[in-house]
Amino acid sequence: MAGLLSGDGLVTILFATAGCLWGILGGALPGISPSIAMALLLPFTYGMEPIPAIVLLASVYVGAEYGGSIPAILIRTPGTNASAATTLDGYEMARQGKGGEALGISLVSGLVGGLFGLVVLVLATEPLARLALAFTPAAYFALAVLGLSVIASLSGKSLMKGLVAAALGLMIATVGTDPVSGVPRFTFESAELLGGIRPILVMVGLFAVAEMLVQIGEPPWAKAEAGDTRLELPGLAMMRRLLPAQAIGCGIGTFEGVTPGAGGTIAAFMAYNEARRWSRNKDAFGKGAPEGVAAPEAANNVVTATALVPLLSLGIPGSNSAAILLGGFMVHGLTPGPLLFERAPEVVWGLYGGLLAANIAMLLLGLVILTPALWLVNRPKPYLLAAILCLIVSGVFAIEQSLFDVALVLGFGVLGYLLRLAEVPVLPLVLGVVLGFMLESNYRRSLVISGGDHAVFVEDPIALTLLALAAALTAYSLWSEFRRKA
Amino acid sequence: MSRAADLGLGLGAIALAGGYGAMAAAIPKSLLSDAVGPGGVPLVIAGLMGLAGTGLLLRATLAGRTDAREPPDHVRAAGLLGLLVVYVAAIPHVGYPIAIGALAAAVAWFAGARGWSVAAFAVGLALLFWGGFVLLLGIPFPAGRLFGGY
Repeated sequence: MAGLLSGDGLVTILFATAGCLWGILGGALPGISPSIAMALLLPFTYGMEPIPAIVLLASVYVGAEYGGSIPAILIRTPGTNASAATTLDGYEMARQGKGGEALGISLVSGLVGGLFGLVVLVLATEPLARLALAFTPAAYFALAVLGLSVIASLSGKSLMKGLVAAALGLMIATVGTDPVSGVPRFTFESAELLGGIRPILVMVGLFAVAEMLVQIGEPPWAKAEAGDTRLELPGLAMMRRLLPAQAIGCGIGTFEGVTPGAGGTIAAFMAYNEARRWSRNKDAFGKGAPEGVAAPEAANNVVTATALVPLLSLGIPGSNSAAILLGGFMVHGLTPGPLLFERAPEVVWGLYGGLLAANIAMLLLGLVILTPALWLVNRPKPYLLAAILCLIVSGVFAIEQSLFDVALVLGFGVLGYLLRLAEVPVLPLVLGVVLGFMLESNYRRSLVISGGDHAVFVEDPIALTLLALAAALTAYSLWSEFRRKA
Repeated sequence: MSRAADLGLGLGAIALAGGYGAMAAAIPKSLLSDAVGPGGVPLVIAGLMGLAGTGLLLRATLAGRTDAREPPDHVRAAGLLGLLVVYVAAIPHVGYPIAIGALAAAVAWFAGARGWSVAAFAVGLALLFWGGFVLLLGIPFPAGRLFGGY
């Protein structure tokens, strides 16, 4: 806490507040997910110091989950996927004239979830990272294989489509100069491709540009009529009533957050179902039960912190937003994983402090942001789309002053659009891009050490365990898929 | 997604695996190469893509008819992409302030906005972005050959 009040700490608080504000506004806009709101800011973090940049991006994620609940409660249109569960009772409360109370419950439950998730993050990440310090290159290779297979299996409806996406990501990662021999690969004699394709360009294209290409054909967003809605924070009696639902949300959010591929949406719906199952008043759910708002909002805010556990300890992002945050680390030459705690512990602790500041900022901003957020949601969609697209193309050019990069981002936007048509999950592709180097370099380093003997991957117990897990998960997913479809 | 689209995705994945694999096999080895070589890992990735594509084809062949979802509006998506491509092509010639203002106006108009407010929005956004990116952040956006810039 003392660190947060120092000069650097005040900068951290400032960026945490700014990120949270951007996140709330972005989350309130239907179609702008937390990962898209983060991707829009990613190019602007290039010129920043690492800690403010990482804190800015992570705070967007925190703010977006509350922002998403504003239209979910007031107009039954979830601003983010994770806030879809909040519409079930939040909108019913709004219809009964309790919209302000529902927003207050969402805000406070989000704060409870965010702080609980932060405690889990601080307690769980470093021990896991210490364990990973014992990893050999063979184990790192196996970890990358496991990460890819988990995401390919869990992030979509089809393992095969997940594998197509992961392979596509790995292909993109191989573009550029071979790290061992210096031979150019898949560069088509283009000087711009010799250095490879930066993951930031892939992410901005796949998430932000693809969404705009879809949104241009969608009908206008519904208008939010807040009337005389004023945010009301829950009193002590209500807080006591909400505690069991928030506890359920915290428990489920913790489990889902640390599980790669699960994420806030699944956590929110599971928390809603469990809160209903354990409630003495099950029939009230779906008709405006405050617990039906508290449980999912606590759960999806826990995930904003616990999703960072696998990223910070192992270097494996388990969600789209964590992948964007990984992009933020890479922009500054930082590699999340066990060595981050040795090489740049100040960044990790700065991130923890920033997340604390972002959660507190969310509460304060939540009290005043309702009117500006509704004003923004009610702007004509054509102007919002145009402004967002101008921000994307300007931000991408600003990174390296390269029009080639802008063209690449548009290309990845088209790819993201096509993948969405084919219902191919995007996360395995992003993971392939960011893990491609880790996978190839550790595979080749292991073989150099072993003199070309592939037995190194089964002689290392950690590598063997991770590879066996990856094989078992892939085989199970394949079996389930063929049984389901045949 | 429809069965036909799954078949198309499977065939596309196999074709991509073939093309990428052929290029990987043609990568020359350097004297600095290790045992795997610069094309070794790409060949494995091509194999993975080929397997996944074959699996998709097989699954789509075994599966019955599936309901297709309502697809997005491809024509409007292509139109928006066209506007963005024109922006990238035009910016070296007309410069950033005019190009970004024109892009803002074109996208807003294409998305359904009408009237003088489109022009006001475009001018305001161009001034805001030019002031923010060029004057405040000092990023050297193209000034435009038409105006003597690079």
